[in-house]
Amino acid sequence: MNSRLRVTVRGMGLSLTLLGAALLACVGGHIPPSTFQFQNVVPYSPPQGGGWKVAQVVILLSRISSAFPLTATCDIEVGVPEKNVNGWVLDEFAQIEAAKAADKAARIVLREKIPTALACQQFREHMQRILTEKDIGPIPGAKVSGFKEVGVPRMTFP
Amino acid sequence: MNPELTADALVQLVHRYYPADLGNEDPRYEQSEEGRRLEALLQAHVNPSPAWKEFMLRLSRELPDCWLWDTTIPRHDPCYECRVSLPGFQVGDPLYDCVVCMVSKLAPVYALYASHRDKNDPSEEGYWLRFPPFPPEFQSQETKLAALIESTFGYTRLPNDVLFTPVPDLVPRTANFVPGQAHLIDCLFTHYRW
Repeated sequence: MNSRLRVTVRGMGLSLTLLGAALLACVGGHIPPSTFQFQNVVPYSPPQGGGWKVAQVVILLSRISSAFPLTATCDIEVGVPEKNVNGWVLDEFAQIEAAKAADKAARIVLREKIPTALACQQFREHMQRILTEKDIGPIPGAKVSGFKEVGVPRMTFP
Repeated sequence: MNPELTADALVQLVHRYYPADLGNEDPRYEQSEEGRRLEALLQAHVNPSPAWKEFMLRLSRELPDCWLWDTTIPRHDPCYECRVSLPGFQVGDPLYDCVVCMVSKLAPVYALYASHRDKNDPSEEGYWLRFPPFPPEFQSQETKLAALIESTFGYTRLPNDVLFTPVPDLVPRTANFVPGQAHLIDCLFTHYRW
């Protein structure tokens, strides 16, 4: 392969990579679990157990579309029990599941033609459903809402 | 019947804590007089009240075979809440039957519902929640919990028709609701029931 063709191919490869990245950003990308930093707000204490810890993230949902553009900045507070019906809810587990649920919820919202004003509400609703779905939800008792807790470190994505 | 605990009286009461015709994403919601009043009340209960702590202790002593799960989220909802499993449940069991106790912070009222989860049953019957009348196997627990709540708090249990009185102009604080969806139960206790 001569060098001019090689450069052209490499240039196309780079353009395709950039285009791919733009598409990924459009459909939500992959939110790293470390984005969700859980902080305890209600201690676990016998005999009543329970406990509660939350992570707060500002998530940008963005879809580039001539027909249905969307830019919504969503306050996402994910709360999980310290211990639930399945056992202890470890921080690492909660981070991974919150990130997976956020990814899926973002993809759903960005696929549907939801008015921007409802996008964040729908995002939270989907995320909570994914986390707590009756048979397969990984974290029974989890809740996704706007910011209600105070003094919790706030992350942003992307 | 206590005249302060009729559906009409309670609908009036909750209008002091939730602004009419505002979604909870609207900045005016939390800035409103009602929103601030609710916020102050939730703040006052960030640490559980002595009565709730006493109730939990009594539960642990009088229902030692039942797994307790305090699901109160102080800054979300104006209620204390606890899930009390039927006797014998161990954490991790696939079958989880419980009675959920909701004790309001807005009024001297409480409510109970039954919840069933069976991970080994993928059908529609594998998961449900029911308001009274409960299935027979839940009724003895229901009676004990009602008696414990009433003797600890002196509160009144609300019947289903009051609980499900619509309040279409209000939206609970953390619900992903649009106006028109809420009932008294969502405003006095919590919309988050499972």
